[in-house]
Amino acid sequence: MSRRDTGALLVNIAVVLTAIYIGSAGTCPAQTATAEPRRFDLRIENGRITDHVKTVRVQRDEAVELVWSADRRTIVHLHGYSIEVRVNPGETQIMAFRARATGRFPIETHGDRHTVLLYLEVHPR
Amino acid sequence: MKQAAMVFAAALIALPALGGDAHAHALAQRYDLPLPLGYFLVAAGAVVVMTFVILALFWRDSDKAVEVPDYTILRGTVPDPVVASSQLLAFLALTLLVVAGLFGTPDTFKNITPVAVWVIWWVGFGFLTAFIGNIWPLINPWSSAFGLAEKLARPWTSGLSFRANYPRWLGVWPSCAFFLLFAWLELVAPGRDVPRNMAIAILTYSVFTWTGFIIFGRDTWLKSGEVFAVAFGLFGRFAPLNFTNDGRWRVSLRPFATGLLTRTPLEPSMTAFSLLMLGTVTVDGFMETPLWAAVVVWVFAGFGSVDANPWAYMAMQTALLIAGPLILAGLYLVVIALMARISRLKSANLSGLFVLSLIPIAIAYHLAHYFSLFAIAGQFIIPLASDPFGYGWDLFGTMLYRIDIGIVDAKSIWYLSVVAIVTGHIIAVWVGHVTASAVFRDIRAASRSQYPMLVLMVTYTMLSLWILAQPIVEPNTK
Repeated sequence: MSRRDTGALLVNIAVVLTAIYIGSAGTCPAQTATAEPRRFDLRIENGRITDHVKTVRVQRDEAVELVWSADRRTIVHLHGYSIEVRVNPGETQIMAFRARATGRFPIETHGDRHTVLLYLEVHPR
Repeated sequence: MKQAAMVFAAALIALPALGGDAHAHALAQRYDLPLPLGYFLVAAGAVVVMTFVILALFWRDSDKAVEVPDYTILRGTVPDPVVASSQLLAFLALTLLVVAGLFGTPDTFKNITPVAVWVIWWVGFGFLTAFIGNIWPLINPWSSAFGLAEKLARPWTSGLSFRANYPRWLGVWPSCAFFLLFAWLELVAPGRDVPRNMAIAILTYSVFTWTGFIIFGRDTWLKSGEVFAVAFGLFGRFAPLNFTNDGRWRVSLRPFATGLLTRTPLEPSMTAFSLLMLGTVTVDGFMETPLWAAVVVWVFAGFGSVDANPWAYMAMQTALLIAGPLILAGLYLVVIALMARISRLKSANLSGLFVLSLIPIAIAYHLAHYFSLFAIAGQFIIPLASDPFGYGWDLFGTMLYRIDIGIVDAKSIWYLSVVAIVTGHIIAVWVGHVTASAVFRDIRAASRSQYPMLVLMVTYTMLSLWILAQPIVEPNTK
């Protein structure tokens, strides 16, 4: 076997290993979280979050509560998890869920146009 | 032809006006977390180290120029019934996409067309093409339908094509134009997820392709103007299965990436097409980085918000889409000029030889960038298969399938990204090296000529890694 063949062989071993890895890349068994929910108070004024929060970070499998209030009637939509709440002035609305999927999910105001308010990041453990 | 192309472009630009609720983010939305610093550093380190390891391993390979060997391991023939039934299926699928697009519900996620085209076909079929084999020439519905029409017409005419002389200088430039337009539709156009727009785009493209077949002959146009045949042909060079036709469809098995080793330089237009594809892959990711968002904010600071000026924002994206491949091409030509100086060979030949060595880096990045999108958004095809028009049918009992956004964990994606990027880089360096030792008589010149190329490869890989390490943001200047 010449060096060149060795090169081709190495390259192919690498590709096949990558493929096997991808094939086996599944999800890890879910952990059951019993702790208190992670609570975030988020207020929308003039169509944006008041204290300039750009990202909410949680760990996978944590219980999360996003508590919304707004200065005007607003529809808030969390993508990926597909949770939507309608917030009226003077009231709070809660998005409560378990963060079972990792990722970076935009939270938008929906209506005439969709505008990103902030992102929810669910990190793996 | 020129006029026709302009009409086509005008028709496509007018598409968004045809209505529908068009929010730019719908299907293209990826939920990937940025690659953490640790992964980034490990990958970046491995890339640099492996570059030198390969240099050391293979450098004193021989003292004279070597032919690129034939790597074929196995050969076989694809049975005709398999070919015929795949062609039938592909044509039915194309028909379904058009009919669903025209007559199904306008809702992006309740109509089969957007998911089937953007996720299953463009991303999924792209993966299949790069990692298993390019079956597009076998199933290409435009090609097989035209072939059938020619067969049926045989008693009356010798062929349906004028077989006009295709100008040599035109090369694959028509495909370059179509690819740029396609990339624009994929990344920039508003309403790209609207089923009706997509059906009209498919029909328009069908007319163009069949017109090309009629004027220049099917085989000529497939090599020059059918952009997907050209694009999948390029990606498919990486794959282990190689399909060829000598009257019947033959298939051969070869090691990964060996299809990228060329004995003859690519035509200049094909080099341009490759650089265009490589550049747009990067632009795709760059458009979601905070750096790009910052540039947008800076440009818009003068005259208001992105939301209020959608056209200005589109113009910026379009400029980036054109500038990205041009910058890459500029850097590539500088590298080639340096190689030519070192080796005293003609740049024109060299530029057609080394562009393919960059392809593995782009394929690796493409995989890292789109794997989770494919795994998550691809699931929409399960309910949609049961109800392709959004009429409430349940053909296969899968209509109520719920999409699992947790199907792949972020950690798996990070590992995958690092492994893919590093592997892609190693293969690129290896392809470059084998090509160099086949081209240059003097092995010392071969070694030295590779340094500029290695710098470009490391830069291109690092740019891919850097993009993966950026949090995805949508420019928002409100």
